[in-house]
Amino acid sequence: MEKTVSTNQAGLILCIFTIAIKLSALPALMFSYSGNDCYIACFISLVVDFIGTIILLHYIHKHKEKTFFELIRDSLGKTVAIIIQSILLIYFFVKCVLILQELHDYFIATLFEELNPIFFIIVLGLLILYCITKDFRTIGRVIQLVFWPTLVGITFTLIFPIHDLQIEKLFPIFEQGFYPIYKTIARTTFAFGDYIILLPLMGKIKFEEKSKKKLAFIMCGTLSFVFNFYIVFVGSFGKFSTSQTLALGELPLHNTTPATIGKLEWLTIVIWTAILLLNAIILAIATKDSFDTIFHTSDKNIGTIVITLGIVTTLSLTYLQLEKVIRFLVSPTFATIIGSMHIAIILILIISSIICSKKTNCRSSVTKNRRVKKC
Amino acid sequence: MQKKLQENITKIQETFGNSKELIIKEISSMKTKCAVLYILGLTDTTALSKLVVKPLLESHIKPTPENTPTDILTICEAESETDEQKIISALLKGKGILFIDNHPEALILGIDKFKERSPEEPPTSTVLKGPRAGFVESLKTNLSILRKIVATTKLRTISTDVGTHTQTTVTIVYIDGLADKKIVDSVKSRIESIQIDGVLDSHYITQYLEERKNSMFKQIGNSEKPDIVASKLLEGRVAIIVDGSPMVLTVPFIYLEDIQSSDDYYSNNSRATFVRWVRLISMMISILSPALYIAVILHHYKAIPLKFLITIINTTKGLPLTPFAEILFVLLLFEILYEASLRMPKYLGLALSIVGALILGDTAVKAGLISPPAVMIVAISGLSIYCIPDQAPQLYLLRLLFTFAGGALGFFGIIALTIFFLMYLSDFDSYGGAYFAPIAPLVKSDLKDAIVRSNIVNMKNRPKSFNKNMKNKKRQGEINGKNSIH
Repeated sequence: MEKTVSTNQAGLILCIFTIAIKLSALPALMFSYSGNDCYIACFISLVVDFIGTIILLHYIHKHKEKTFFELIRDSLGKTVAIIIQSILLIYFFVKCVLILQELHDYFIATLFEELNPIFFIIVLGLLILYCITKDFRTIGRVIQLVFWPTLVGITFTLIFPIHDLQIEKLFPIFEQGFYPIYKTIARTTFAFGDYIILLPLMGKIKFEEKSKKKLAFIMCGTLSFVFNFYIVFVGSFGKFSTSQTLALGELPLHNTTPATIGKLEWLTIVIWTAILLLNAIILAIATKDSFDTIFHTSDKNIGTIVITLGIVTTLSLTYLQLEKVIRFLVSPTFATIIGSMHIAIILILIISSIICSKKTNCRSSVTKNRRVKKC
Repeated sequence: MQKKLQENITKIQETFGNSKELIIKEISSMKTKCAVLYILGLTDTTALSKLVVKPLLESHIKPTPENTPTDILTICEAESETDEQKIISALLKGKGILFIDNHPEALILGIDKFKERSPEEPPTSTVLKGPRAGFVESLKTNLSILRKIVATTKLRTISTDVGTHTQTTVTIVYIDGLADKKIVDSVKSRIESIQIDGVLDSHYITQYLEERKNSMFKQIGNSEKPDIVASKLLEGRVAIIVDGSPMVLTVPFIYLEDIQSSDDYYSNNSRATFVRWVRLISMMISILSPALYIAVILHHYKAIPLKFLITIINTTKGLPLTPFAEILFVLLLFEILYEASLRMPKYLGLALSIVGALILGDTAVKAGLISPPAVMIVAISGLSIYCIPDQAPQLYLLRLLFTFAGGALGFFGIIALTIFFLMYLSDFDSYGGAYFAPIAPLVKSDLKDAIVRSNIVNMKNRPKSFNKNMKNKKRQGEINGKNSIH
């Protein structure tokens, strides 16, 4: 059976991938740069993400039979394709480790008084080792299964604080001008550009009549949700937002409504944990996919073992150092590199598509000429 | 076979080791020697005398294998055969064999008769409303029951004998035009490739049909109820009936089949939907309740509301066992009671309930060995398992695994194990049907009969979850002309 990802599954993968990293450490971080204007910075970044998604979707649809690697290889050559795929591998790998570190800190802040690092890393390692033997279709199906309870859980997280929401905390806007907003956007590039996850899905999505519109709609819905979350977050915590380092965990914990109903916040916490874990698995699968594409190993287990060992080792070496990792990610140099990469990927895709189309046209015209001669 | 009658008789006798159960009745018809062979107890001797022996003795025509079935015998089922193995196999299945001197062919006579129970309501799937008939151990009867329900000429059967020593007949049943031919061929080739001494029940076949041989999860559907099997055939599934087993297998199997019950279709659709949700929730309760209890007690006591926490602390104070050991002990106790109640003679069942409920439960709590919350949690979980009896074996195992995960790693362990199993099962396709279809992958048209049960009037299309290439998509008619299946 052909293992393809349906539009629905691709949309949900994109959705989960987009929200996961944005609702944990990021809100507090953005607030530290631009104060209550952080939701405006977030809005601008989300709009850029949406535009990027639309462009990517257009080209992915145009070359739906080809994977990203095949498209680059056919247009820019094998060496360039390998270099770009290697950059993607590192990108997915770093994001995966970052998510797992956030997951750990989220556990410490919400679920556990003390978390045995050996247990945590071993269990995660085993789970990732198993999960990356699967493909995007499988993870897509799992997300389809957990999506509705997840949506209900997170919607509750957004609805409950509305009672305590103070709109005045969102104002005044542009108090310090546009620079802090610009700085926020420039420094937090690591948390945006989620359309990149569409690249490993390229050539695997089963496009139907309205697939492009459907995917764009899902992305639009997801980004609107993220924006609303930032409004609720800033509106709830105000100037204390900087200290709420795990936004989605803190929001229900500091809210009176779920506790009145009866510890309902724990449900959200558990759901959010599952989302972070699923997101890490998506990234691990994408990393393994890139590894297999680059090294073309006949034995698929090599990629599985190498990636798992890589994740486990990096996680062990950077254990309890999420702050340091984030500080590195928001450093001007690294943030610029990541931001440039987001744009470069789109440009590369456009250029490759143009070259590829020209080559195809050339080939077809050559064939036509030959036919004419024969006639 | 040989031409000479005596040689054939001797050969058969030798094959059976001169068994006394092999009865040989030699007769002469129009001066031609004949012999009727059968096995004592497997054959209807009255019918044999009336329909075979008497017509032969009274015949005015010289018998030959060609004219006997049509001109002499009054029996309907008589088939000419020369292959020795087939003749022996027929004898073993209760058929009568007629040899005629100077002819190498034998006539296989359909006069087998076994004592069989009546099609009563099966104990594994009792219903409040709807048909109560169940399958029996006879393949013939089961097929006739199915034919009576699915009265279409498109109902097809393919039979094969499986088992070197038992030669059990296994019959594949499907509706031509509805079932996917690829699935039928796949089932057929798998059954034909079975190399086994004997098939004593359909579960022997199940293990050969499963895609993942060592999986603890159910991969093949089964039912003892003809109405359920008939409905599955009408949806385009393939049924496998094994002679000697009342349990009929069906493929492809998807998880939601077990959440559904035949009652659902004989009651109001709102009620059916509600009951399906209850089953789904009880399935989750059965797996997760001991695990969640142990996780919150050991790792996340903050998640328990204060009043409830105080109650738990008061009841668990001074217990000799740790909460983890305590819940494992209660689970083990429950398993022992369950096993004992299954194997124990019926008249001891009541006594066992008293022993289980009063002595082991109440006294153990009073003695301070286990706490009431632990007993309550395991009892609720145990009851919930039986909301979906077909899933019971795997739910027991899952409950144990999740309890270990919850005990060792709290919510994190439970979440990790859930994701592991979801990944494992989502990757799994049984004969082209995804395990969690129609939810994952999403098949919108099939959602009308999934967790929600729509009105039958609205369920116009046959399921697409496992049969994407089905030509007759509409449920009404189209198989055998208009309204052939009502």
